[in-house]
Amino acid sequence: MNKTKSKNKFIVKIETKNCKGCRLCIVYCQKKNLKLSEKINHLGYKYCEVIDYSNCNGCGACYLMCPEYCVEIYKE
Amino acid sequence: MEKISSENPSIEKTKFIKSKGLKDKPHNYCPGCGHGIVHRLVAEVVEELGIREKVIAVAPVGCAVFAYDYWNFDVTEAPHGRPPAVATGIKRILPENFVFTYQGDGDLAAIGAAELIHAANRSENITIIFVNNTVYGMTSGQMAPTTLLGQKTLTTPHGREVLRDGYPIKVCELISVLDGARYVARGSVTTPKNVLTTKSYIKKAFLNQIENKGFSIVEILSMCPAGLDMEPLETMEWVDKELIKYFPLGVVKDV
Amino acid sequence: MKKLIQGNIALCEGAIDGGLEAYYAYPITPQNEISAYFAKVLSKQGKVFLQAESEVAAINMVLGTAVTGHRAMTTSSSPGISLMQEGISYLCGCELPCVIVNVMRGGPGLGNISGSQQDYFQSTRGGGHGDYYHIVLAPYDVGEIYEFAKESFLLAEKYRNPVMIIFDGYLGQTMEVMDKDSQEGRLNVKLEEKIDKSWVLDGCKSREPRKIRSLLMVEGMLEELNWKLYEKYRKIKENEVRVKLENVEDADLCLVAYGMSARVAKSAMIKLNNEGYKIGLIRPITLWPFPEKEINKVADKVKKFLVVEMNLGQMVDDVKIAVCGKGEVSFYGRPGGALVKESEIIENVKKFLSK
Repeated sequence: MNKTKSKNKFIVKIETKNCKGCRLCIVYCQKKNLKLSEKINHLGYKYCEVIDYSNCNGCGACYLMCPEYCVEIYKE
Repeated sequence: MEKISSENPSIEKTKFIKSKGLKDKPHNYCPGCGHGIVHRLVAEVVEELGIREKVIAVAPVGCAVFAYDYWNFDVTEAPHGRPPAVATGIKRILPENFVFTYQGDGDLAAIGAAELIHAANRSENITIIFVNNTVYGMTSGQMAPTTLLGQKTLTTPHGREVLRDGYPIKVCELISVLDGARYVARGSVTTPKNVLTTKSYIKKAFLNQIENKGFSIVEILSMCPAGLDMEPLETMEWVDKELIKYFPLGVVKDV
Repeated sequence: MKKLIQGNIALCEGAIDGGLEAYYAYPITPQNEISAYFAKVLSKQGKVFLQAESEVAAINMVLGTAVTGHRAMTTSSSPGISLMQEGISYLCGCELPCVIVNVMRGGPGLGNISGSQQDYFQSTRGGGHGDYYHIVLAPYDVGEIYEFAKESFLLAEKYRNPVMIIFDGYLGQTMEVMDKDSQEGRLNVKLEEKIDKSWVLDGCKSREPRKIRSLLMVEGMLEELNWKLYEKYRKIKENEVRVKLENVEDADLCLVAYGMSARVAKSAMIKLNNEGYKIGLIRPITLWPFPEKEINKVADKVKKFLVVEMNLGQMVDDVKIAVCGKGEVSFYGRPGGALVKESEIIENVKKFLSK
């Protein structure tokens, strides 16, 4: 689980253990802030990771597109 | 989307948080499957309308048969194609409860076509969430009633042919001609914008039931990467480019 | 209070007195009086009446009402009951109580609209897919139709299982004097404990969400459900067998018949006994559970059994199982919506006895 504060006051939480690596969140991230990890989770998938926490503008595209509901975004 | 729940002050600052309409248990859908997105939208609308404790949902036969394991409210099983009849039996005896069905293209538009048409025609005060991914996912990818012409499936290996297989059924257009159908809309879950629009359709359809306006249906174009034999992103693009041409998005009827 | 009433209408009155809350059905002869009656009466009482688009829809509407724990019923005739089998299998798999009525007509296929008893196998063997049973009640006069309809909901709820009432089209059309105050024909359903409603779906207010399902994919779970159902069926067999025995004690031959056939058989028995023959009558009231032990006991003394049915011989198989080689079992019947004849029963009895 990644939990980091961004400058723009958004906290992105990714429940990586539930991620199936479909990449729907990655293609819609406006800031290109998401990527697939090199590691695999217990389900056997490369999971989604945040590249740069400071960049998030809180648009919610990743939350909206995630079929596994494993992304949450909090306002600081 | 902002401030999803006002009941709990500790999440005042929430922007996008998992709905209480969903159980903690992760689902078993394939990577990139649209069901997860639609499940979440339904759960969010249920929570936002404050009806979770009144909901009795009807799950179909198909991939979404396990929906009762993912939603955090009462759900019953129904035989293949019969959710509108089961929902009728629930809503008629418990009109104060909130009743919706969740069905795929095979369940709703093939084996359950009669139940769908007659529930709509009676203007049964229920809501149908219809997930159209143009293929039978659970049984490994056969032609569905909504499969596009030329589209290859397990049972149309050389593509769907009109002379042999007929045309893809436009469910929303078909249902909209019935006087009993009050709200008919088609959305998709292929872009964040489409996801938000689809959510607004679901909300309107649910509100219709709360206001006793009668039958509502929301068709949702969705992705089945496994059934369509494509990568998740490829499937999403295909739905967005090809499917929407034949199944135009928007509110088809609102009376 | 005594009154002259038709079988199909007695069924309606019984169901209403038994607490019917929702009725769904599709038109089919010979039971159309039932939906006509309910259409007039139920909505006035604030209850649900709905003409479904098919028998398939009707049984699933029953399923919908059943998941909420309310009392639902559907009625039909043979071809319609065939269409309902899928739903009945689900009702049994999900353990949902409800009442299904089959006013049987001649078959196979579209057949005709006369009364028959050709759906014995379909009713007693679980006509749909999977290992399941439901209680089958076979009234033989208008009074029993009333009583069984009234008590069937209690029986269904006691076991969380569908109950089917079957009788032929002739009995449905029969006008008879019925006495609602009479104790005769009552099933006398006994409840050891309060009926459990902790499974019903009515919205998850102040409780955890519930689910109703028969799909059990985790290894071993479906087997577990089947064994649970088996145990339930064993209890039903133990507690709910109903059978009427007449003159069986010193009989040389017993007639075995249910429903309309039992009426004709009874009148044949009376005539034969007046002629000096010693004839008894075994009338199964529950076709499932079948009165196997009771018939087996009769077979300790009686060595000849003539089964009379309005079909090509269906219940006769169960009688053979029950008699279990202790005596001879013979059959007389007429299929295709034909009524069994008293004279032919008498003839068959005499022939069988002289063998």
